[in-house]
Amino acid sequence: MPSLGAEFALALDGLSLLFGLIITGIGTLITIYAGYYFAPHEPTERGEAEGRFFLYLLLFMTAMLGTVLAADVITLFVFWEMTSITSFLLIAYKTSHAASREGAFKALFITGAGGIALLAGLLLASALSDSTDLSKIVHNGDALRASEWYHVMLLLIAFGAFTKSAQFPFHFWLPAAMSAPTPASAFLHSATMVKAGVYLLARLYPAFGSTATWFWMLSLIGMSTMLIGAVIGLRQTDLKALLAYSTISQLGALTMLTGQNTPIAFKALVIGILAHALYKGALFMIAGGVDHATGTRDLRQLGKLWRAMPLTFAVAAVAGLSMAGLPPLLGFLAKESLLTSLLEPTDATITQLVQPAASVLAGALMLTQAAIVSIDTFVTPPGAGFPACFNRPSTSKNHSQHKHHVHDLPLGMLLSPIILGALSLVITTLQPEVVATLLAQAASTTYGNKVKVSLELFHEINLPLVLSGVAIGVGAGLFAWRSQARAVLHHLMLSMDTLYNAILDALDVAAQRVTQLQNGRVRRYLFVMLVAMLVLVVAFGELPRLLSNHILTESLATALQGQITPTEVLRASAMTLAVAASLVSVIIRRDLLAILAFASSGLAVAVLIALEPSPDVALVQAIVDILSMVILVLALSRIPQHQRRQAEALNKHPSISNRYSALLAMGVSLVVFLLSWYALASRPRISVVTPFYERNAKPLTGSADIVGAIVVDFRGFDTLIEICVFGTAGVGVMTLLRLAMKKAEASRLTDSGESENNDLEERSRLTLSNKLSGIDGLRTSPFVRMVARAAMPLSLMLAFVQMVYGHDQPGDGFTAGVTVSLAVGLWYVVFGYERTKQQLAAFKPPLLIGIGVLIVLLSSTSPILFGQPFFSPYNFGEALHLPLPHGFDLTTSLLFELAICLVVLGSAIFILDTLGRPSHMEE
Amino acid sequence: MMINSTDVVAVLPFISVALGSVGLLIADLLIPAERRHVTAWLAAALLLTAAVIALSLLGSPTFEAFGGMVISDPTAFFLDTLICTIGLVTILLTLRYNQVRGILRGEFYILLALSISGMTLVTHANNLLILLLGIELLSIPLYVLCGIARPRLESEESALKYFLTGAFASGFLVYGIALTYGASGTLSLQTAPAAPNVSGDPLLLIGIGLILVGLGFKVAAVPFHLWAPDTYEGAPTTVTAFMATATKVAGFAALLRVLHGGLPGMESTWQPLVAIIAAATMIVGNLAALAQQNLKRMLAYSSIAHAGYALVGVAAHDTTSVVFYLTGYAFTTLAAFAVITAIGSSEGEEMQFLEAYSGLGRQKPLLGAVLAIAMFSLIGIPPTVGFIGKYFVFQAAVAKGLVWLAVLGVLTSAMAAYYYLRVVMVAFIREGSAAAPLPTPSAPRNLAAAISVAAVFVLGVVPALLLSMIGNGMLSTTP
Repeated sequence: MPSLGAEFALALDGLSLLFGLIITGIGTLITIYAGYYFAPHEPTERGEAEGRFFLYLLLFMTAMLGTVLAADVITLFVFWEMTSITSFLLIAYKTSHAASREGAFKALFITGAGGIALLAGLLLASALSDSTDLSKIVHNGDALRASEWYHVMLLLIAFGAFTKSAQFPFHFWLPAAMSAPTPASAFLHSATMVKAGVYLLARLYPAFGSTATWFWMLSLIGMSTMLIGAVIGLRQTDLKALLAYSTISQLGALTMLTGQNTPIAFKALVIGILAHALYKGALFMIAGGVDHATGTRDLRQLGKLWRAMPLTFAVAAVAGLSMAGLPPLLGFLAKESLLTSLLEPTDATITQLVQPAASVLAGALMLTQAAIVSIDTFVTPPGAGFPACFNRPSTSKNHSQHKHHVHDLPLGMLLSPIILGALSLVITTLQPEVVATLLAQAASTTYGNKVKVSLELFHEINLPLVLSGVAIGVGAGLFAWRSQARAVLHHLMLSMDTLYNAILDALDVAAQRVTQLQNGRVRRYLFVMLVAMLVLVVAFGELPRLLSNHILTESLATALQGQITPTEVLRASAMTLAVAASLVSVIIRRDLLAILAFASSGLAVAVLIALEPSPDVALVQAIVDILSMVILVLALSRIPQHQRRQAEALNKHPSISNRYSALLAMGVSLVVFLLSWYALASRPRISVVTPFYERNAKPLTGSADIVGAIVVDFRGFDTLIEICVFGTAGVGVMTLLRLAMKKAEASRLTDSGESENNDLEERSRLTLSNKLSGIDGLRTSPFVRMVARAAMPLSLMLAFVQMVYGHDQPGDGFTAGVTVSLAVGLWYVVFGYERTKQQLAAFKPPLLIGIGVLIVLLSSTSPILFGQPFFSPYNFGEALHLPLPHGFDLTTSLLFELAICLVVLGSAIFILDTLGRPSHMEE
Repeated sequence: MMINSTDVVAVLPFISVALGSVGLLIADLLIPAERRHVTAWLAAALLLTAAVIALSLLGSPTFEAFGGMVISDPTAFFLDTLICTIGLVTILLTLRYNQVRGILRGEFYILLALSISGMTLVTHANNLLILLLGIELLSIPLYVLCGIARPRLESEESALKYFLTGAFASGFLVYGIALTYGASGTLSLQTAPAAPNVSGDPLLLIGIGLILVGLGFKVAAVPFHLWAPDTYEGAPTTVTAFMATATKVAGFAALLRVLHGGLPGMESTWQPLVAIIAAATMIVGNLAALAQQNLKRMLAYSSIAHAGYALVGVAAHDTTSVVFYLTGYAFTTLAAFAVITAIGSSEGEEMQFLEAYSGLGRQKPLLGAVLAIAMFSLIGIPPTVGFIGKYFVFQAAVAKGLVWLAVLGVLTSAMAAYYYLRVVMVAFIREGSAAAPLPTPSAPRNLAAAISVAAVFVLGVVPALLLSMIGNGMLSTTP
């Protein structure tokens, strides 16, 4: 992926090799074990389900290997997230259990979120190193540590690592994940995946390590995790949960070691990783075996199994000894080197006391737990060592079924734990050179300098050995008084789960708050938009700067000095009318009057524009204003009376939100006023734009009317698209109104059979009255009808003139179209729906729009026939030498105007037709 | 106005879709009412043709046309291709869904095509007026499409809300354009800030700010997002799918045209504003999505949140990352909507609530898998395209020094994992028999789902494929 700046790259060094061997080695053993684990169990689920498990397991193994072998941060991250997903699938494997689902979700959510943070941290690091190559980043440590982003990166990466390695306070997902099938737990949650966080920290040590922040963060988090895991573990009644907490404790110790900036700490780290992987893998498999044989993992019910399962007991004892940190096993060596490295002098003397003390305590608790696993399960009778407050569950059915045929595990199932247990022993007793070299290599690559690792168990009697002895003594004592210890812990609830739930609840509340803004009312939405707009204009638009501009005061002064001409008076009165009418339209209760007031304010604006002077624009404004009013009134007539009265009544009681709206409206008006003022005051005295068009309109386009020239020629491209927009709106109106009506009509026809006669009668009566009367069945006077009749041909003529001469004079296709539409609207009002439809049958909207669009296409393509480029202005009359009267040019522009007129007319008739349709014809 | 053939080539995708829609309008009249799916297939063929045309133009150099009104660069043609492809996938989704709900109408497809024609114009806009026209052309059909399930009340409500707020936003846009024109004397995006004595003019700044408000509405950025959840929930799901993807892409195309392609030299002015909007959008979108029990509404909020991520790329002035992010987001969201359109009773009642999806993964493993893949990609988990997209925008932000924005993006993504994963949980893990009755399978819908899922993976694994197509980003003709 060169474009990513990243590539798929893998690399193998000492650290990767150690992890790689653990992953593949234990992975192989787990696979063998799982084959037996699933075999006699749940015969119905065999076959596909089992295959699914192995598929996930192997996928996970691939992802895990990829994580430790990745030589590029993106590759690393991809595999990292893959481990999260495959582990999710493995935990949720038993989908029918609610606990599995919850556990899986928790694990994926926590580690997934951590993964995303990790990505951010890695990206920052690679941005600062100009490469996503892991080795380049690692070698860029000095620059990274000096960067101002160092702490951000460190926090993000540590967050990723801590969530993955179940460090406090994110540790709670790991016990929840114990609902996974045991082979998965043994592999993921002890030997491999949870160590990925430690791996990452170790890997990035040269880049981020050896600073005070690194030391304190990792030491403190690691130490707290170590203690909390060890303490809570003691309280557990589930064998697997106990193992999970002891894993958390061990992971805490490893994190703490990564935080020490000494070579000896890395020696302890690699030994610890290997030792833990070996004994914890074995113990998990044994726990699974015990569960398998007895049907329970509850420590209160297990006991005295050594008779029935002697071989299993032997393996558990060896692994347990290693976990307890007793010689001559690897666990002992791990604890020894841990203590040695913690006793190394550091910058802060306090840690030299606290850390070893904490480790001794944790070591003691580990021993107790190891004893619980090995002794309580296999030697002492069930229930021994539990205080009364740990109520024994009533013996489950499941348990009683299995109890009488408990037997030792099949050899195949024992093979893997035996090998792991034996390795714990062999490595320390035989001390093979190859293992020492492997560990030394791993430690050296991590630390960046040579680290010596020897597997000698005893050097001399020194402080670590003494402390180790103390830990053993305390641990043994704790085991003896485990009942009392458990009773104390029982009352000390330490649960991050509660916090996790509390945080989720808090998020929920925040989410509710945010969604409360969304109350479904458009008024609220518009309110928010307007407020945001105001904030934006005031803050971003530098309104204060605008206000302090001297242009404003200057313009005021000029205005006051100017003379009052009659035009000024007219302008002022038009302005006053516009403002007053708008105000009335807001205040007045009757809807019809409000519409009329609104329309008159629009007409006043048209007067203002006409005074500017720009008659073209004024004409359009006036005509559009009238047309909108007609449409609004027609629409109003379709709203049932009682609804209109309801709305009017609503306006009588101004609510609080109304007052806010009024305030906001004033604020917006003020800002808009200031903007307009500034715009008017600062515009150049001499127009820059107009002279250009005045100069070029006639020679370039053959049109003396600038507005017309702009619309059809200078910005003809816009106009063409505008026609598309118009046509689209027409299609939209048709879709929404017409088809819904047809549907309603159809359903009405099929609806009632019995009332059909009445219905018919009623309809014929209404139709009759409709034929004779205007809108809403009101009779119109003969005079009005005469006017309407006259208006139609007049409007057509006016439209024709506007189009033909509009190129040089005020008026254009748009106004022509609207003019005719107005006449049609008048017909609807005066003659009523049926009659208008009959008499104006030629005005079919689809036909008009279709012809309009066709003309546009033809007129824009036809110049090609005459050897001109597409869309160029062309005068057909001149080209074909047609005898045309002066001022009448048959040009592409004319065709364009005609097309606009037809499309506008068609769309307007569409709307009028639908709104003018009497309501009884539709419902 | 002199026009030559290169001008036409510049907007060939637009012209072909626009003319095609008119042809569709005529053709639809000739198709009997009970054979409306023919119109759908014709529309699909039209969009396919347009997509192929746009694809074949990818290699053409950057040039202005129609006197600087429009501009053509590989990114614009890529966006054309993307939008037409989204339209095509949407049509595949509609066939069964619309038929069941009685909205398999010819106009549906005509309006869809018209809306797409507006989008393909926006991608090329080099002039504020063209931008406005394109946006109007894409919006008006959408207002209608939202309400096309009339007389269903929720559909009508959705359309009305969208129309009212949309008209409002268009008002801002026009006002902003007017102020910009007033300040600079030009509508061209290239020369507006270069006009003498205007670079610091408050009018120009306010004008651009208002244009941002109008465009922020189109992409549903906070605080202009309030319409989106209501509209998305009420509109027919196929329309929602189209709006959440194509409209979002087009809205961003407009933003990119204004901010990245135009207004040279003004980056320092708009960058803080866009960054703040991006941050607010990510926070509010994700937070609100947490509370949703309705999958469609959740996806509406999620689309708001994703607009926030894309805005991070916009703020970082990295066009390629934004376009890549949108492409990934679009296909992922289409995959999710493909599942929603598939769930529902044969009477047309939709099953939008999360509860209805419990056990889906077991009853319909493939459908469940599509849903899960979509959710994983929306979170941004590799090897899906959602991951690469987030990677690009965050990387762009870091490179531009907007580290706080990238960190915020990461944190909100982590939060988002919660509500996306919940969907996966419900579909796969929860015991379920409550799943809604599934309508008869639909081959086109399955094809749409397959295309989307394939895109999610292919682009997630080989992003270079897409990057080479997107090109070097919006090129400002003035270097």
